[in-house]
Amino acid sequence: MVLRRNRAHPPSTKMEEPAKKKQRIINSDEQDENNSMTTAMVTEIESFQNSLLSQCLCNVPVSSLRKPFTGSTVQAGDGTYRMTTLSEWEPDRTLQFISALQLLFDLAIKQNTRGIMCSRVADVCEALSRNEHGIIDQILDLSCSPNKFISFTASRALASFFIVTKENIELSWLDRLTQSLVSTHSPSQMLFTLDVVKRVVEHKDGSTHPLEDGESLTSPRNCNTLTISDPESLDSTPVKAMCVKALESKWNILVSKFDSILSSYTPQHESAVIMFLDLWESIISVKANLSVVDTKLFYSQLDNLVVLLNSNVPGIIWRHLLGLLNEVLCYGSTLALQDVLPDEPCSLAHLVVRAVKDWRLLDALPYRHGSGRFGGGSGDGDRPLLQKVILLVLKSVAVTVKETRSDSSDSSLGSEAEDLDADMAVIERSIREVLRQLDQCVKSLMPFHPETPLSQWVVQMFHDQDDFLIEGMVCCLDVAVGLFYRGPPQNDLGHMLSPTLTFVQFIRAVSHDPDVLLDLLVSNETCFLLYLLRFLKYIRRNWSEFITCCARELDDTMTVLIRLRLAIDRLVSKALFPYNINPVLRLLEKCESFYEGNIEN
Amino acid sequence: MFAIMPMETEGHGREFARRQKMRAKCSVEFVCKYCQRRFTKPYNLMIHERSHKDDVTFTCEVCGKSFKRQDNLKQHRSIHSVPHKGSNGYSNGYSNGYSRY
Repeated sequence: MVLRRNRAHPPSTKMEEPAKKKQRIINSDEQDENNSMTTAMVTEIESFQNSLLSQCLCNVPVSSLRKPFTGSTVQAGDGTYRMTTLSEWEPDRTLQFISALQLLFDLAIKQNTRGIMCSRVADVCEALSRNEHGIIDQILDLSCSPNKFISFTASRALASFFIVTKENIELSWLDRLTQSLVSTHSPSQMLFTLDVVKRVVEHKDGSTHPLEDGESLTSPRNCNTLTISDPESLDSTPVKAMCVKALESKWNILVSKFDSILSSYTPQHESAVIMFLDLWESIISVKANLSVVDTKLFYSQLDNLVVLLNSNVPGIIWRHLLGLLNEVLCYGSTLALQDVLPDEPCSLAHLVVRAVKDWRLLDALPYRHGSGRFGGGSGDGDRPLLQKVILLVLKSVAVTVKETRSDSSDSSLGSEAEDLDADMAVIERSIREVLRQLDQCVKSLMPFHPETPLSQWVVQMFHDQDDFLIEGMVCCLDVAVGLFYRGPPQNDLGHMLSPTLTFVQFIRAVSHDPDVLLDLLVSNETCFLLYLLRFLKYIRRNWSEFITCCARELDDTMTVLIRLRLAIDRLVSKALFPYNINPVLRLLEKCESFYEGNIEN
Repeated sequence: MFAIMPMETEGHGREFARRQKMRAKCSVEFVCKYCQRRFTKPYNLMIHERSHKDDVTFTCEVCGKSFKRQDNLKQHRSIHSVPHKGSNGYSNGYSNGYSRY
């Protein structure tokens, strides 16, 4: 153990220093001695880091393994010695130390995933999880550091530590984190907690970096390894749930806090607000794999966010607000597949529909009325922002139609058959107005031909974003199926939402290549399976309309579908298709038989 | 339109009663193992559960190596094709990526 005060190199002028205790004046001999001590400490840390990079700590002597964690001492005013804390160290040394911890935790996570751990790595993590030397408390203290580099590094390391330690983390650490988020006015301190929780929630078990193959993770031959046999050691769900639970107890206060920050928005809060919205989005994201029961509270208080979409809020915040709202309306992955929709997304969808229809939400879109209009008048402007708002409107419309249909069509509930017609007629009028405003907005911002219907521009608008494209197509298809249950209408809405026009446009966009469709089907990055299934069902029911609408492109379109069927057949025969594709295959065969009958006639 | 939406107090009672009855009616439910959301059709649950998974990998049927993209797998497959040197010294292995395996 080092029992001397340690002074490192002069602080860099480029970084801000953490608040320091008053230091006593030292003489030159002492300074030389301290410099040599610092050099020794740096060497210890470097040797620790190098060992971590070679995946093993077995060759590091226990004494030198302890040194970096025990730190150094400082002489207080009364002549006694006390341990220095991380916040008193020189910034560079703190950064190096925290980075080494980060390296340690990341190695532990990777080795745990692989099922074989260096026993020394496991021991050091275990000692830290018992909060030996109070290291974790000291890292938590760094949330107050005025040095943003230190604060950022510490939050990353703490998140990795939580993932390594799993459910053994102390609740008091989580309490400290959430309490500081509630009580602080400092954006950087808010960022610290938000960053830690977000990283934990977004952690993917068992994922490896694309550049890391299996061989680079192999431990050296002389490493004393531990075999991890507990399958639950790979599961970070419990620690995610603990973090979410800790946040839940303060959630209402936090939403109010950020609501008021957004209401009187100033740029100094930009990062904290974005991080807060992103964390919210991560918690409710389907990809987070968190229980919808455990996260129910996070679906409340969303309506206020729609009100915040106004011209006082900058584009960057709009983008993150829209990202969150789009995640709540998880249409393609979830809502489109459920028979009974939860109340919260329905309520949000109604509000968005209303905001577009009655409060002209689309007029408040940032950059719209700037000097050169959208994005300064050159190029495509803020196309991603426009894409997000279009998707939000399409999802809201689809949820509204779906909810009305599923509620009104249930004859066992005592509602008369005409209830459905009456409800749908009201809905149709409102939806037409919303889609008219959307069409007008898009055409005023994008160089589309005035006659291009929504059913076609939706493909052009999303051609660079396949997940948005497919989800947008599912929304349009479901709205059309939901509204036109008595057959295609003889008005502009039929053309505006024509599923066949959309599909033909989509086939053109992928250059009539069936391999693209196959890739989309096999991959789970989009909801193309749902789209294709529903579209094929639609054309099976409306075959003559499909033929009329395809017109001269019928043969090209059917060729793509037939080639896709052959490709699926080939994969299924070799048992290479990753899931049961038979429902799609049967529908493709049915449509093919219709087409062949058509040719014969 | 909003007379039939929950935000309007006028239609709220009717709306609520419908929802309760709808939920009671859907007695057969398939529950997602990841998020506990409920579905009434098993194929719908399968489609939903796919969206929870991180990503799909494409596995080489010869050596078992996995790829995130199918085109990368196709490119990889060419290493399994038998390089057959022609008289000009250039390989004329199977150009479509499929080998004799």
